[in-house]
Amino acid sequence: MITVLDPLRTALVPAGSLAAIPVGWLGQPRLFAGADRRDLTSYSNHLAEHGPLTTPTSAVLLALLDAARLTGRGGAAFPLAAKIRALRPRARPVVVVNGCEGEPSSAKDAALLSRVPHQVLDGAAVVAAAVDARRVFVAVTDPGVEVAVRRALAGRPDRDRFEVHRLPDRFVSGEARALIAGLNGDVAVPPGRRTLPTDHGVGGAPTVLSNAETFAQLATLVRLGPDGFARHGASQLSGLAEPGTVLLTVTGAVRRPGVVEVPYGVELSALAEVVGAQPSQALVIGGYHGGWLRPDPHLVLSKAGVAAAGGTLGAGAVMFVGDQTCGLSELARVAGWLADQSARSCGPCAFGLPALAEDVRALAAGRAGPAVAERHARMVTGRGACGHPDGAARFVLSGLATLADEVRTHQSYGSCGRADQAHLPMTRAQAFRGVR
Amino acid sequence: MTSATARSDAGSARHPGSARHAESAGHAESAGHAGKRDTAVGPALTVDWTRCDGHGLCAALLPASVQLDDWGYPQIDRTGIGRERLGDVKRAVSACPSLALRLGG
Repeated sequence: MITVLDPLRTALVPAGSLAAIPVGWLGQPRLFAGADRRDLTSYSNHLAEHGPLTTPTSAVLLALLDAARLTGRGGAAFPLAAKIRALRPRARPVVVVNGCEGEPSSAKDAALLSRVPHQVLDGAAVVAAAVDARRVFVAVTDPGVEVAVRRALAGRPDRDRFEVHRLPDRFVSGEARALIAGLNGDVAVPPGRRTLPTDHGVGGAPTVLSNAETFAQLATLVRLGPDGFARHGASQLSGLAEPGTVLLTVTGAVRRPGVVEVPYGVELSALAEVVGAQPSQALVIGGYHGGWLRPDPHLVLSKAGVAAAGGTLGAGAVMFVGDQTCGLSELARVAGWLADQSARSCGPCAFGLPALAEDVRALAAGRAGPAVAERHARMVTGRGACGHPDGAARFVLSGLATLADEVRTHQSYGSCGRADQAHLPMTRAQAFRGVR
Repeated sequence: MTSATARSDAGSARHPGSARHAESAGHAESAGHAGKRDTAVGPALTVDWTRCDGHGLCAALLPASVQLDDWGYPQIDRTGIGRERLGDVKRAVSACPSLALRLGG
C-alpha cells in the first residue's frame, strides 16, 4: 500500500528552458531520489546519492533485464533484453539514448535529462559496456536539455564515449528510424523501407536504441538488483507483474501539472490528488497517439491496468479533460494539430489527417455525424512509413467513443454550450501553466 | 512522439524475419497455383508510402485487389491478390511510375 503522499515538489535545480517543469513523486522516488535535497546534475553528488556503478557483463545484464522485465519507456514497452539479443553479431554496436519528446504533453525525458542526467547516462554506460559499443549517442530536441546533458557529461570520466546531438523539434523526430536518419545526417523522417535498428542503425552499425527513461530505470536496476527493484510497483500492489516505478507527465485540468514518479499500480485517484485534478469528463492517456478513457478513480496506472480499461499507458502522458471544457472541441483541435505534425512523406497521412480533422470539426459544429470521421480514421490506419496515422486515428476513434453523449448533444444542438478551454496542450508552455 | 516510434520498431522487432517468411511463402504458393483462381492469399504486395504519389496505375491493372481511397492512394486487399494473375501483378509492380509498389517486403 502507498501510505506516503508527498506533495508535488519542485526540484531545487532550475534547468534552462525547462525550469518551469515541476517534478514530484508518490511514495518513494527512485529516479528522482535526492533531487529535492541536492544538485544531482553534479557527478560527485550523484555518486554520493546513489553509490558507485558496476558494469555487468552481457550475460549478467540480460539476466537482470529478464528478471525485472524491463521494457522500453518510449511507448511500445518492448523488452530491452530483446533489443540487445537482436543485435546483428560480428559488428561493433552503438547505443542511442532517445531524449526526443515530440509531444507537448510529455516532458519526463526532459525532466530526467535536466535534473538527474547521470541516471540516464549511467544506464547508457552499462549497456555500452555490456555490448562493447563503439559509441553512445544522446539525441535530444530541446536546446535547454542539450546544454544540461553537455554540462553533465563534462563532469564524467567516461565522457569521451558520448556524443550529444540536437534534432529538429518535430513530432516525428523521436520515431526510432526517423531519429537514426537524423543521426546519419539525413532528414529526420521515417524512411520508407523497414529496416531494424538492431541490424542497420547509426552509420549502418547494429544499434540499441531506447528511451531516456529506460536507461535511467536500468541504472536503478543495476544498483538495486532485481529484488530491490521489485520492492515497489504493481507486483506488490495488485499481483500484476510490473515492478518498479514509472514517470508520468500530468497536465490538463490540474492545479499542479508536472512530472510525477509513481510505483506501477497506483490508482488514478491517488495521482489526481497529488496534482490537484479538477472534476473531469475524460482522460487522455499515452499522449496524442494514445487514447481517451473515462476517468475511473480506480483505474490502475500500469501497462496492464490501462490496457484492461481499453487504453495504452504509452510514454506516460496523462491529461485530465475537465468538466468545464467542450471535449469535442478539444478533440477537434488536437486532431488538427496531429494533421499539422505529419511529415507529409506519405499520402494517406498527408491528405487523410487533415480530412479527419475537418470531419471532427464538422461534428463539433453539428454539421455531420461521427460516421465520416470513423471511416476516415479506419482508412488512414496502417498506411504510412511510421505509426503517426495509426496513432492519430486511435486518438480520434477513442475520443468519439468516450465522448459518445457529447457527440449526440453536438449532433442535435450544434454545441454543448461550453467553450474549448485548451485543457489538452499544444505547446510545453501551455502544458505547464496549470489551470487558473 | 514516443509511442509510434517504438511501436513500429517493436512491431518489426518482435518477429524478426517472420514477415519476410510469410510473404515469401505466400509468393511461392501462388506461383505454384499461378493458373488457378481464388487462391486464398497471393503474393505480398506492399507500398512504400514515402514514394507513392497516387498515380493509380496499380488500381487500373489490378482491379480485384487494389482500390483507391478518397485521396487516390491504393488500398490493397490481400485476399483479392490471389484472384489476380501473377503476370498482371508483376506488370503492375514494374509499371508503378514512383517505384513504390513492391512484390514482397
